[in-house]
This record gives sequence, C-alpha cells and structure tokens, in this order.
Amino acid sequence: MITNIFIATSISIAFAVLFNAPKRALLPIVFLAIIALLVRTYLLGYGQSIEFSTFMASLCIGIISIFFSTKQNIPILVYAISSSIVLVPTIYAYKALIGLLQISTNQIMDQALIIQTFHYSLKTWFIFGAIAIGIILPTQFISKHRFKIL
Amino acid sequence: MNKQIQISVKILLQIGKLLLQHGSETEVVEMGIKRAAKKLGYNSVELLVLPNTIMVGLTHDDQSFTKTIKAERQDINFRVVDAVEKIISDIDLNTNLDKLNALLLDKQNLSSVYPYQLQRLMAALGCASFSLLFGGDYYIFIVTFIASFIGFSFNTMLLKRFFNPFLVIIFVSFTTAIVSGLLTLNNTSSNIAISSSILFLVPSVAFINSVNDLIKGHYTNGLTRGIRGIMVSFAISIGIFLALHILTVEKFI
Repeated sequence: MITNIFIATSISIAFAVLFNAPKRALLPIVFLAIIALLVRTYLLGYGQSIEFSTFMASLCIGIISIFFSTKQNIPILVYAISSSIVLVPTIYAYKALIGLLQISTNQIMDQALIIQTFHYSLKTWFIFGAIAIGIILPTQFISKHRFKIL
Repeated sequence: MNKQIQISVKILLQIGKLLLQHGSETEVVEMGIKRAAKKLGYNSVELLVLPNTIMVGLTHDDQSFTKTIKAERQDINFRVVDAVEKIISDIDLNTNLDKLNALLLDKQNLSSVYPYQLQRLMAALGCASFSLLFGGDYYIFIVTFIASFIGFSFNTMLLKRFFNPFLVIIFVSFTTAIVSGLLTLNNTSSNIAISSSILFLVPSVAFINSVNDLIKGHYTNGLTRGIRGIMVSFAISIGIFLALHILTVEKFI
C-alpha cells in the first residue's frame, strides 16, 4: 500500500508538472491519484475485471474533482486528466503492438498469437473508454456545474 | 460603438483561441466565450467552433460583426486554461477593453510555471514510477529513468526547431526504445522498461477529450481529436517497431 501511494504521488506530480498545472492544484491532483490507484488495486484484489475497476476508479476521480473545482475555481479537466494518467493501460498496448509485429514478421500459423493480440488491443481500447466515461459521467448529472465550470 | 463591438469580437476570439489551443474540450470553449460575451453586455452571440478555427459573430442594434481566428498549435498547458478562466470571471461592464485585450495577448501567461530542468526530472521520474507499477524491480526503475530522461531532452530539442510533430515523435520513441532496450538486453522484464519509458508521449489528453466531445454532441471535433490521438500512437509504434527490429524482436516478449 505504501508503494502504491508513493507510485501514485510521483506519477501524478510528474505529469501535472509536464502539463503545466497551476501550483494550487497540485495537492488535489495527488490526492485524487492516490485514491484512484488504491480503489483500482483493491477492486482487482477482490477479483473484479480490470475494465470495471478502472471505471470505478475514474468515477471516483470525476466525483471528487467536482468538489475541488467548485472550491478552487479551476476547470475539472485540470484535475481529471492529470490524475487519471495513473490508470492508463500501457502494458496491454505494448503487448498488442509486439503481437502485431510478430504476426507480420514470421509466425503466421500461430492462431493463439493472433487471438491474444486481438484480446490485448481490445482491452486497451475498453480501458481508455472506461477512463473517459468515468470522468464525464458525474459532470452530466449536475446541471448547475455544467454552466459554471466544466 | 462601432469600435467597441470590434474590440469585443477580438477579445472573445482570443479567449476561444487560448482555450482551444491548450487542451480544453469544445464545450468549455463555447461556455467560456458565451459567459464572456454575457459579461461584456451582449445577449446574443453566434459562434462556431471547428477543430482549429473559431468564428464569432456579435450583434448590437443594427450593426453586426463576424470574425474568424485560426488556432494552429495544439499543446497542453493547464496554466493558460486557469488564467483565462480567472480573466473571464473578473470581467464586468466597466472593464477597460483595450487593457483586457492586452492582458489576453500577454506572453507572460503562456510561459511555463516550472523550470525546464525540473520538467525533465519529473518526466523521467513519472515514467520510472510507472515501471514499478507494472511490476519492475529497481534495475528496471533506473533504466526507465535514464531512457525517458534522454528521450524527453531529445523531444524538447527537436520541437524547438519546428520539426513536424509526428516525425519528432517517431525519432523520440525510437531513441527511447533503443536506449532502454540496450540497457536491458538479457533481462526477462525488458518489455516493462520499453513500454513505460515512452509514456510521456502517450496522447491521453487527446483521447479523453475526444470521448468528451463525442458524448456531448460535437462530432466533428471529437472525431478530429480522436484521429489525432491515433496518428500519435501510430507514430510511437513506428518508432518502437524500428528499434525492436534492430534489436531483434524475440528477446523482448
């Protein structure tokens, strides 16, 4: 758990600095990233699928960032994007890529490889969709915020 | 009166351009322009937001003005979004329009808050922490740190000379993958090092904004952003493909 907190802190601060987020938003971003990573880790530990746990984690980010954005008067986007970088599924994307490369170079007869590549690339896209929908969903329910800060 | 409408249109266009260029979705751009127009005293504003063009039309009494502006670059800079948001909420009917226009054109707002050396270190640290998240050990951590440090420095160096951004991404991902691959040649978890050291290039903002726009009904902008994200991912994968072909693929599964 302590490793997870350290990882979430360093990743979210790093990407907030890269995206040039304002200094007063750094603390909420770190908080959101830690919560998202812990939620995802625990749901995965209880045997849920990775898509569902990513969706729940990004839903947490979406709900809590509405609170911060009304308090500090910064658009939700700033919090949501910098903290949801933690959830991006790069290892699946990489495996799908390597699978494509292998199919194209030599092992055309290996059907398990083709199916595995397809599986990994679908997983990547579904996780991206889960992140985006989880962030947007809470903002759609609250009509007051739709016209103030999105 | 004539001059006032002209400068108001200019201000609204500049607000929209800053918001669109620096990574906010279409709904935020439209809301920002409409709020600013209302605060400047115009009740009806016609507006069209395309992926890299904004058109604003204002009507007052019998006069109407329409103007367009082009937003060429697309980079993520949340400080600008925050600053524009603050400027909009400070506007009222008594604001001096010339001063407001000068404030929006000020280059000081666009510059980075954090020094370049800190950005380099942070990019390397973030990518290296990702390798820990995917189950790498401390050797992988250090390799990822070095590779992404070199990659990020190369990235800024090339972008300063105004190369085509997609070519820059191909070069950078090639360099990063070569460095991290060479340092982990006989390691079993070298795939973690390669896949997490190119993370600072991944277009996650483009994808998230694309889904945002599609859900809210801005189909043209959403599709354009999504295609831009796919182009960037293809550029990254071309770079990695080249690197892995040189290092032979079989070692890196």
